[in-house]
Amino acid sequence: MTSKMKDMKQYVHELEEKKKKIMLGGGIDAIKKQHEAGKLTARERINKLLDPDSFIEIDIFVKHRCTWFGMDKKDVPADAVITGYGKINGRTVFIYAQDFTSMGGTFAEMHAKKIIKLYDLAMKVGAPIIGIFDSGGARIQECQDSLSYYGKYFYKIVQASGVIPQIALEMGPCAGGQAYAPALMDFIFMVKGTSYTFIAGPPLVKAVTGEEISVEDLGGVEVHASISGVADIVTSNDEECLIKARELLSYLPSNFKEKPIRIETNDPVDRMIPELEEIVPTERNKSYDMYEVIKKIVDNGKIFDIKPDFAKNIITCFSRIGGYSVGIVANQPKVMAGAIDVDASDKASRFIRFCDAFNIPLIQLVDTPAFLIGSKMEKMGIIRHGAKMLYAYSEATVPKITIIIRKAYAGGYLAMCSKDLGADQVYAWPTAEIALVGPEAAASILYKDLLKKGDYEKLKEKTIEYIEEFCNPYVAAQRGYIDDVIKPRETRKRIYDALEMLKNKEENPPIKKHGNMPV
Amino acid sequence: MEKEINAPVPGKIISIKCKENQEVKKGDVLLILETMKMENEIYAPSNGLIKKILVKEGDFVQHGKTMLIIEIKEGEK
Repeated sequence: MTSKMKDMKQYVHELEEKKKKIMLGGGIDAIKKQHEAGKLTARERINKLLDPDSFIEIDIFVKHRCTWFGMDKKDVPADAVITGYGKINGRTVFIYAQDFTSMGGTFAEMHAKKIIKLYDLAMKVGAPIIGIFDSGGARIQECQDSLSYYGKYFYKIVQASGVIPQIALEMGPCAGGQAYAPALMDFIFMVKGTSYTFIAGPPLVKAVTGEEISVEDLGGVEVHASISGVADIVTSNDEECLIKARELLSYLPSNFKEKPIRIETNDPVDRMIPELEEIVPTERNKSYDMYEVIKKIVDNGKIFDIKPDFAKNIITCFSRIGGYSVGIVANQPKVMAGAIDVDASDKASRFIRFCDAFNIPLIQLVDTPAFLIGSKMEKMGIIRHGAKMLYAYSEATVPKITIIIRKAYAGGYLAMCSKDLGADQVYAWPTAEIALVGPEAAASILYKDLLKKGDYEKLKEKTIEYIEEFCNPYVAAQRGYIDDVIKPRETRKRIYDALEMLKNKEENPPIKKHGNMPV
Repeated sequence: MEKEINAPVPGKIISIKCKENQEVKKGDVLLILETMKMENEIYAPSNGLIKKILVKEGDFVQHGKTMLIIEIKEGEK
């Protein structure tokens, strides 16, 4: 008995038909539903994210092998996740996208194996990995297998952490165990209206705690962008999310051994900025918008803001100066006087560590009256949280350039990367005030006799004297705590010159297993 | 919908820039709270009407203290 002979054409045709069927995911109706929900399908997302026609899919034929709960008769195209590689701006990236049309994008054994295989490849190659999340969570039918593979998946993400950049695009639900995968990666994007993430959804919350709450109020974009700080970048729709992800990658190297690509700029590196001398008020108690300062300094005013709506008292953003990719950490005097609280410490520390892991120089723009004080902050653990910034800066070996604009008091001075924490170059504007404590506090201790006597006139006089003598950059410059006092208008040029000088900086920290950063 | 404007930081009210029953626009400065020797402007989070002012100039406020209540019209965010 011999089977009917097939010619090559038939073999190829069969292959095409098989792929076509799988590529339709959950089918035309499910795709229609996905579109009606305002979402693109997994395949559409991949094609929009990558350079045209660059996507190469792998593991399209993978099938689940569960036989419980009628799963032996259930077909799950591509096991609900599409995996492969392609290019973004000509550079290789790896990508996996959960397919919500295919059994709700649920996470299970073979689904996980596809992702883990991709991670192994990405780490060998040294290319970033992007995950697109749109999933109902664990596939319940696979019971403990689903649970176990979450663990294996998390383990893999952690192994890859610091080796290659990992970007999570939450473009739909990302609930339960699933929520922790993006949390272990480097950056989380969310889309208004369609993405939400929580460890337990409203029905479970109600059953266990009695609390009644909507999906949006429990884990919507608003919550994670401004309150929890889980979301790094918020976008209005799928298209914007994918464009922003491409943009973020342009600031990053492909892996920890590389430096970010330098992009030629038409913005002169020696551009003087007299406007800076207008933006920053010389009155010590007046605020201004630090974003205006940053945008004047960087190439063509362009920044990529991270967590813009969370802990607004500190700004963390990527940008370029003279074409060099840089990470900027800046106090925002407009919000909470630029004081550093627990959330600001968290936000900055994570950003600093990312930049250090991936060879992105750090620029600090300092104007802070210090860590926020008071019982609320102490109870929230400002000591534990503030320590993260001291740790992150001390540990970072990338070029560190600090510009002191106005106030740099106390712990805030140190936490914004002073010379003592390893800043390679520190420049101060003539308006800079570097001090152990603010002048009023200093005078009330130094001249406490006057305070006791109630001689406020004399105390005020002494305070003014203190301001004139000590609240300037020259005392710190005499000691070499700052390298130079510069004109505000020269700021861009001086940062560029320092970046250029420091570009081959090497520093070798003591050998150890790893440090123990406060968390 | 009524929304409370709470002190984001502890400090001293040095100036109140609105009156009760006054219409305000999103981004208007409602009051100035001095904290850590810095003037900290408190803005209207959205368009609305000032329902109640619960502090006066010179008051010290603690973190989270309700300073004023603003009524936000339906549909405003």
